[in-house]
Amino acid sequence: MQAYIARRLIAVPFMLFGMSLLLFWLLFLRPGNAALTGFGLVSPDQNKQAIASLEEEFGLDRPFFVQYGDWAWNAIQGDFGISLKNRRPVTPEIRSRLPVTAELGLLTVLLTALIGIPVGIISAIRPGTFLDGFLRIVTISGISVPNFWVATLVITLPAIWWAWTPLWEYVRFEDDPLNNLKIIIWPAITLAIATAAYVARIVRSSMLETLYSDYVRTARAKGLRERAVVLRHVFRSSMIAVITVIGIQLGAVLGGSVIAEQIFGIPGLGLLVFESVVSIDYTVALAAIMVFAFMFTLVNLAVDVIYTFVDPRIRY
Amino acid sequence: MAESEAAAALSQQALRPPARPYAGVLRFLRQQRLGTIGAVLIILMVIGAVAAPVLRTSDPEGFGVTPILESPSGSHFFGTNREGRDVWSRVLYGGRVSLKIGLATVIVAALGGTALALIAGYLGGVVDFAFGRVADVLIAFPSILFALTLHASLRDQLPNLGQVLAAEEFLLVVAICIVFTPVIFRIMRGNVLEQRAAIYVESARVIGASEMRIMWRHIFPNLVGLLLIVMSTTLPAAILTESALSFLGVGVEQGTPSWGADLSGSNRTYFVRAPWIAIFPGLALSVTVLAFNLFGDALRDTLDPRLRGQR
Amino acid sequence: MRESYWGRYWRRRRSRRSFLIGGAALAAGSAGLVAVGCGDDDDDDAPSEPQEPAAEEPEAAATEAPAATEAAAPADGPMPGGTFRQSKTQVDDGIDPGLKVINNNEILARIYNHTHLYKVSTNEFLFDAATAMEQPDNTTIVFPLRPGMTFHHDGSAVTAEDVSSTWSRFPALLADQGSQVNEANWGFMDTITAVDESTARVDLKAPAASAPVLMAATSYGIVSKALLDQQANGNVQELDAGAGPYVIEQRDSAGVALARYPDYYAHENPSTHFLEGAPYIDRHETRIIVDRAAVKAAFFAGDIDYIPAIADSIEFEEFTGDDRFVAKEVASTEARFLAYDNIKFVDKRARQAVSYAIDYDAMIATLYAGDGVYDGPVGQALPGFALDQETLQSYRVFDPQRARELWEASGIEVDHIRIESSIDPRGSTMAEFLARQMEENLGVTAEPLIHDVTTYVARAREPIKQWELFVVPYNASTTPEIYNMTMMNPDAFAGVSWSFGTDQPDASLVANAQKLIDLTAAQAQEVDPDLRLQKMEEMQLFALDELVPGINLPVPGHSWVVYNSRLGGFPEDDVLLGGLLNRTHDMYVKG
Repeated sequence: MQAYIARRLIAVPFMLFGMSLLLFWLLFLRPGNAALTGFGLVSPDQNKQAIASLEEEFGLDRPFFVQYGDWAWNAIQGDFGISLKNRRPVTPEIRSRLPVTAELGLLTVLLTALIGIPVGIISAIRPGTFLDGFLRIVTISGISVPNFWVATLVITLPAIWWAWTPLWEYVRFEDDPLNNLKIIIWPAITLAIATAAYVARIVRSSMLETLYSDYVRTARAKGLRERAVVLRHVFRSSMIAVITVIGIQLGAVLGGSVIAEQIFGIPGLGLLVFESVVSIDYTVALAAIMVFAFMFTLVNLAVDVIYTFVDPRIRY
Repeated sequence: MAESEAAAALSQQALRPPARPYAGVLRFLRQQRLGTIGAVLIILMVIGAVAAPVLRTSDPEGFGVTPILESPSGSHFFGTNREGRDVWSRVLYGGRVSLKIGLATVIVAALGGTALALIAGYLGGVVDFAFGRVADVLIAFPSILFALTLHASLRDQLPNLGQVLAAEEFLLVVAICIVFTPVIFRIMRGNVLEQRAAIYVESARVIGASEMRIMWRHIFPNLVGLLLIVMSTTLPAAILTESALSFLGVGVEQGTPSWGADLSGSNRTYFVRAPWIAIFPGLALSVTVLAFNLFGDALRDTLDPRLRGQR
Repeated sequence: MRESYWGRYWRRRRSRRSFLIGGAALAAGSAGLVAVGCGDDDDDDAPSEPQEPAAEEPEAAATEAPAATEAAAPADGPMPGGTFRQSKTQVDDGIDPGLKVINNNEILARIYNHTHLYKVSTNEFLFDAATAMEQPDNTTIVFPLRPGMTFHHDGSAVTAEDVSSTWSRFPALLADQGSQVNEANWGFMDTITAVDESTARVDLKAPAASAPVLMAATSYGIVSKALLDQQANGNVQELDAGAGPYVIEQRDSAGVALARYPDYYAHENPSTHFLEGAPYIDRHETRIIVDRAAVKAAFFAGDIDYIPAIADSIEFEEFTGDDRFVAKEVASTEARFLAYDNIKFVDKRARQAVSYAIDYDAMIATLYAGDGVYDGPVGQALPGFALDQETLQSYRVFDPQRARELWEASGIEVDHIRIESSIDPRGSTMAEFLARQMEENLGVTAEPLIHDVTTYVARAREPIKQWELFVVPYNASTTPEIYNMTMMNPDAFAGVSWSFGTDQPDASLVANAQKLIDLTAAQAQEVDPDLRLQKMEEMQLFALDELVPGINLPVPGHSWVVYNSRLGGFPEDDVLLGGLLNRTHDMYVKG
């Protein structure tokens, strides 16, 4: 078990290395970059000079591997360099935006669990009933609806009908937790629709798998109440599937934050990723995406570790 | 030699089609009512996409061919947009794009993922390990981010396949494939390893079948059912990814009808005034994905008896 | 102000065409422009994001004086206090006014002092940090500074030294730090001297007719020399180095909040828009909302007070007849340029063919919902300088047959036309429209290439272009020099981006470029108003005759201003062209 976690931990830096190399190369392929976009009206000669001086300043004229090596060396030390677009240091920018996206992610996962698990349980203990059928349609619809469409409707329709919108002045959580939650809750709900539906489906199927297993029959036979059977025995064994799925869904949530933050005006990492990729602000895009990937990798690792606690049978 | 063929025949026993080929279909229709609804919706959607030139009420890419921003009516079922285009016609044509890219992606990703899984399973060792780690890296990216970066980088470096697949569409396929192939690879690899250890493979090996032959004649046919299930669940996901990318402005060519693209760009300016231009493309997208999901579920139930009744 | 040629110039211009109230305006950056790599200068809140080009500034033309503008308005009159809320699509890239002028106007205009500002709708100069603008001769401008101004950071006094050091930085900032402030905004200045503590003198290289207007731009905000000297990198990108009426309270990825500067000096000679004391409004908040549908939703819900960048008359209609909002149609401030990659179109017939192949009326009918006008080298936003519609129409004729004949005759080796545009909605729709026109009327294949702004700029600046035509949407400016003509200037934009410079291999192309350079310089240095107009007309007609370096496409017939009716004294006639929204002191919040 410890050896397994150690192995996984050792793999993490290699994966990050692979990802960053790939990303760097992809961004390197693109013509132009943020530093060259913003400067003023110049003559052809001045244009050449300006480009040359900017490329020198940011070291963009160096060979690919030199640039990458330089970036990676600094990144390892926690310094992601400065933004090509506005020359601001990237690390503090990431640090200020990460909690916002993390909050959105956690809230979404929380909603996912709070909605998905009960719905899944209800369907599983009454299989084949009308309620089950209904929930099945609801959940399968949930995973079919694109989040950008839901977000668009959430923004647009109430504004038409009631001149109301879920947009307030964005406030940071540390300044005003309640109002902050009032804002974050909408993108979180939008993102949680699909993930909760997915989790509900997994809970249902994995619970059905165990509901008729021998040990559950034994539990029933010894006179446990159905409620206790379901919660103590069946649900617990289904937890593995649930945890896996929630872990995987966190990846979807991180990707979804790119869209949700844009539409709901949340100043998080997702918005930063989109803007920096589009404006080819290498340093910012790399740092932001790597933080995403790092979070995702860690979550996956955590999921694997939690397995062992939930299911004592698993030994690595 | 004869023996090995006998073994092969034995191993394919399981795959032999049922005596009455329609029986399976009939059973599906009877037992999977939701799946049937899904299938019907899919058929309707395919008809809509294929017959779009007939069913359309005006040129979806023309300028000012209809009055602008008109609400849904008898002549324009889904209303019209700011460019004076009929939303119904654009929704029909948008189905073409979704279907085209969804299918292309799924076929390439499924075949690619399976082939890689067979290679990894066949060669094992270093190759298997390397493939696994590359897949880890690709899977660790949130798919939208990856496709976004890839699209932006390769936009000008890919060939234009003209009518079949425009440059942008080709790029979409590549971007989405790179996201889905490793996922499929992972699922298939697990099954390849499982099959390799199965008794029928053991017996084939014992009678001297080559590893290559075992892979293609024995293991691969046994993966077909799983492959179909994986494809049926990947297709709606691919369609959603395509529309999300088009929504973010890195999808199809400007002006090409696409459900995702029609929810973005200048259309967003008019959503408050003309909600139908926001509602219908999104609805079409949702219903299509729902249909594929319903069908995929039912297909899984039918093809994988172990899971029957569970999802 | 002493009577000088500038005084005469502006007065004359006004009397000549008194109906042309607007005349000019500070630049409004548009996605396109910025994109092509020239930052703009000047009051521009225009996001460089695709979502919406012009943010705030077109101009206002012949409209009645705003009802509640004057300080002495009755009943529901102005009162101090309140918060003004608006939105923008992107975080600023820095707040050094000499370096960054895109997407930060609402900050620059309020935390810095400016010697003067220019009110487009009435052709007035309004004095802020300077009490006057004196012009002893054609190449000298003197600013006596107002006493009592203090910087936010340490309360020290603003002196002429600060003015001279701030304004002297422009060339170095462009050369060394890739400034967004165009040379056209400051290239006319030779030296800036502090004559004494409270007098700054600017010596010009040559007479420059537009200098006073150009110097009213936000990029001329006065930065503390002391603070500047302390910075290792020679800029105040992240510092509040100003002495304006507001200080930065919050500025981060969520938006910007500005609060009153308690020690703001009192204007003792109030003018239109400048009050005797401090501005009415207590706080200004700008929040970041990227999505256009969300911006509108927020405006409808009353969460923001002003909605920038109304796309067209269709969108405008949504706000009319609703007493929660004030919706006003003003003169058009938009411009659309279709540039050739001139090296591929050296044969004039090929350029003509493209021009004949465009159905301009259809463009107006479909893209502008019927409300559009023809446009020339100097935009319709500068009615004093622009050519009249009749002249323009004679140059913009749709004749597909002739187009095809000329195309064949030119022997041009182009059979596939790629039309580049950025992903801003209007530009991309236009590229799509034009691609269709080329296919239908030239017998070629054509495709719109829509790129994000960065790639778009890179593709404009590449030495060998990967496109044939390039769509640039931009916003008009207060002077013909900025934006309107720079788009065509071989020494700048056109040279770098449209292959239209004197460094090109083709002799006829070089000759045309040189001619345009000469004609442009001639009008800029002409201080006699009538002669200047003549020279400008000559320059415009040359560009139209030769179709270089591109085609001025039709523009919308109007621009639109919409704001929440809880605002009073809103500078609706100037908001789109002068950036007055951000600098006006007499705007107030009712109740």
